[in-house]
Amino acid sequence: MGRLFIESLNGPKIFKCKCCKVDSASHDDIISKDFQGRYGRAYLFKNVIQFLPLPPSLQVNISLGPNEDRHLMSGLHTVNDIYCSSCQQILGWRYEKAYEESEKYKEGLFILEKERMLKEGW
Amino acid sequence: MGGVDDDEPPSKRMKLSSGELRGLSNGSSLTEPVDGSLRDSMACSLPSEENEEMVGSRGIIKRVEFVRIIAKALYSLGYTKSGAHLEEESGIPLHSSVVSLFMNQILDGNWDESMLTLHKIGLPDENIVKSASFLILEQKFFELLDGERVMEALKTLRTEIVPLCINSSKVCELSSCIVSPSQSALVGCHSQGAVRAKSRSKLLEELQKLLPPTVMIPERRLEHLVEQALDLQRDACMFHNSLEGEMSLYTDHQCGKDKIPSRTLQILHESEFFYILPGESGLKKMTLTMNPNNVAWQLKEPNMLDESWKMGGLIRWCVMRTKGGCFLRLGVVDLEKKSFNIFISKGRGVKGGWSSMAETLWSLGVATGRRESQQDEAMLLKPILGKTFTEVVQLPRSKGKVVVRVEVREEDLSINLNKLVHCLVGFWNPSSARGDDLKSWGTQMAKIWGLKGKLGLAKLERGKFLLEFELLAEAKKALNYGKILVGGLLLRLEKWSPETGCLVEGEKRNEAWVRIVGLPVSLWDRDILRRVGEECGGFLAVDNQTEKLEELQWASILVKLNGEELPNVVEIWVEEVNVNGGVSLKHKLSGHQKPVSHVSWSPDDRQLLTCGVEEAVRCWDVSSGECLRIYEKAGVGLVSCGWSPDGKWVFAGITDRSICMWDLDGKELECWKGQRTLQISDLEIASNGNQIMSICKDTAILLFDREAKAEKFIEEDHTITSFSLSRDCRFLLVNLLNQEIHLWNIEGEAKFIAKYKGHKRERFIIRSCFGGFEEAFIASGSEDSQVYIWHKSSGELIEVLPGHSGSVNCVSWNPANPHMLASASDDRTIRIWGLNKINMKRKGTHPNGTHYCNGGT
Repeated sequence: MGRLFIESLNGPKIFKCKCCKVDSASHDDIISKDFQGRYGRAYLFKNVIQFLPLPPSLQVNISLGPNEDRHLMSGLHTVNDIYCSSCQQILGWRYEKAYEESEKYKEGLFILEKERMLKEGW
Repeated sequence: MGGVDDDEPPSKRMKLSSGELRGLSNGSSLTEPVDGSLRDSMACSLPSEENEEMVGSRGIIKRVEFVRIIAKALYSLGYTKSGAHLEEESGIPLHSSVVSLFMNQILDGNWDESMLTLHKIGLPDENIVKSASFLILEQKFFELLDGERVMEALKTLRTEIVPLCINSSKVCELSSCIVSPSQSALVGCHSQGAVRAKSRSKLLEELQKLLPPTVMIPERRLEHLVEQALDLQRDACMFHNSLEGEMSLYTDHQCGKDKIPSRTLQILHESEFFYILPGESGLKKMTLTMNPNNVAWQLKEPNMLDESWKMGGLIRWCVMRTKGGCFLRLGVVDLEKKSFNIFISKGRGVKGGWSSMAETLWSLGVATGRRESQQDEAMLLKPILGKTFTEVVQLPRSKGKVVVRVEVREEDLSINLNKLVHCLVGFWNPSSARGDDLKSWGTQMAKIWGLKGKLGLAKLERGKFLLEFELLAEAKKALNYGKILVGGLLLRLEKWSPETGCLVEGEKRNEAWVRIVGLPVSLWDRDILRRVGEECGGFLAVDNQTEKLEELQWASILVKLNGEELPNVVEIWVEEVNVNGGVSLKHKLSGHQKPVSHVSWSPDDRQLLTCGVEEAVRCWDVSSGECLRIYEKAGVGLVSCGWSPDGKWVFAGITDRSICMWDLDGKELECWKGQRTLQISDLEIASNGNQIMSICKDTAILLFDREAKAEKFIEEDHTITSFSLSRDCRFLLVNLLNQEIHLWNIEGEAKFIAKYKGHKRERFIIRSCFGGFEEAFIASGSEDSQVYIWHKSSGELIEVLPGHSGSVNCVSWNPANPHMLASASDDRTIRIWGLNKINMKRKGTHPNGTHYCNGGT
């Protein structure tokens, strides 16, 4: 494998992928800590590294999987899995579309599983 | 066009051309063309055939000007007769008669007449007239001074120069010259050393520059025009990648693609490669691996100590097939710091070749890498056999002495025996003479004996040969002599007997013909064969056919046996000469704990800086492979490294977003806090030592001027992944996230110049570089396993080189050889690219140099 191009985040508190320590998200972007993922607690982020405002083709550090319809505890959603670009671990998912009105606020936001993250800067 | 060339046409000229001249010089209407179409009177630019005023297919070259320039060129080349003839034949004078007169007067030194003529030329601009007059009078002045005619010089100064009222400072200088003659040496323009006026031809040149070009054609005008055309052709030539002297006037210069490296010359196998960087002199290359080891390869230099060889590991191998056979070529380095190529022949039958090598390696307990895996695979495929590859190959070998018995009757021999009656056997001491020049001996012997019949000679074996006399009587006579001195050599003569030349039973043969199978033809040299023979036990002779290279299947030499077993395998170690610039492993530099991410050659190419990812920077000595120094900073990791151009300081980028500078002893000198230094940032230092370039934000590169403490930024729209600096430090090539490569001019204000697209970059850091003749090309790796080459000025994609089987991470163009390119890839190889020369092989005896082929990847 060649040398991956990896970005790093600026903020004091950063979440990194547990396996490869590549920066994933910043603490400042947390919206809610009260979510449940596949492996336990998960946080809702409004942005992960470099996602906005770049188009998906120019992603670094993480990559997105294809659209999937999933039944989550909160209902049916269309989600994309988030993979760490260097170790290909699934870190969480992104809400592409929500089918219930009460869940619409999640569209475009990201879930990262706490169990897959390392905290740095705390 | 200024001024009128001539007052009246000389009678010699043709009427038509004089009309042209006058018309053109006046700017008034030309003689109208016969077809009478209405045209502008100043129709100089429109072609009209009848007039023949314009030449060339586009009709933009004026005949008069053309001819005059040619005439001038002829004169300056020294062909005065041709020049004069041209003037006469075309009717177009080089200079009008007045001007010619003027020029002659200058050269003769008739200053006063030349002044008059000058006015007659009729220049429109008074200032020009004045300046020209000044020059002429100045010359007159100096010549008078030289001739010690001071009073006249003074008069000239007063009455002639001063009234011109120009250049008064010069006038003062001139007057001071009179006062003190030594001053004129300081005046400067007459820089001939002592007080000497400049030569008159030089004056003429200066006048030429002054006067308008239509009056006096400037020197070397035609040459200048041709050079311009050549320059334009060269600039327009997209693939121009060769050194100067190849432009011809006969055809438009158009390089084909064959000047761009496009053919893989060599594949180097090792672990993964991220980085290739040429040294200043372009002779060396450097590659890195992802393992904690650090591999250095060098070009064109004898290899030095290599630790891994001690373990018996192979450094590099490839299979070669030449006329001499098929063999395995290994590049290794020995303890004496010499590099060698080992050629192990494949071997046929008796000679073990590869199988014995494999055996030996197995017995040493060393993994043979690919070979082993091949053998493993072979074994896996046929587990039933229960024999290894080596055993199978070795089976047909027969070592023991097998005796064959044939019975022959006397009568079968009779014919030969009859012939042999005529024969004598000559003995000579083989150690006393080298060659066996039978022919000359034969003629000499014939002379000495006064033979009437023919004499035939044939070599029997070393030190013996057979003489066949046509006439029996002569044979007997020669026999009676018993001895003969021929060519300084004493020959004993004996009658042939059935025992001649045969081994007595029980006698151990002490000579043997050895056939060397699989010897590469490049090694077929008498000296080398002799040394092989010496090793075998004593070299005696080379077989004729071998020497003449008639039989190439094997090389046959006669060697002495010293009672030992015949050698089976000969290993010839060739010291690496690298005739056509092959690259081979020089050192393995170990010491970094983390993967090495960045490399930088010292300006004198003797030291190498390597930087581990977030680790320390190590400085290595290139010739010995030793680590000279480790640069570290407590608590933080270093990410990139670079040299100052004078080789005295070392820079490194650090994870805490600063750049640090050390001197060669390891003392920290300075530290700058940058805005942001990415973890994988590049660091470059411009050649004046002052500018430091580093990626400071994801979309910007900081150019920090150390002295001026000024900062310049190159701002991009997209994230920057890597950048590289051109050798003249004027351009920066920036690789972006969105698969574009941008070229910036960083002299003065940073200016964006061009972008290059086409390659693929999605996940990795791909590096690009400048290269080729005068750095006219940009090369880059790509994730689609190809090397992309663009033309720098036009931005056009010229070449796409396939060949690698993994993402090409880094390319590097040899700065000293514009035809060589190296690329490093995820398929664990480095490819050296060169020109696509067709017909490299010559038929016949010697192939030129070593022949590389793909190692079967």
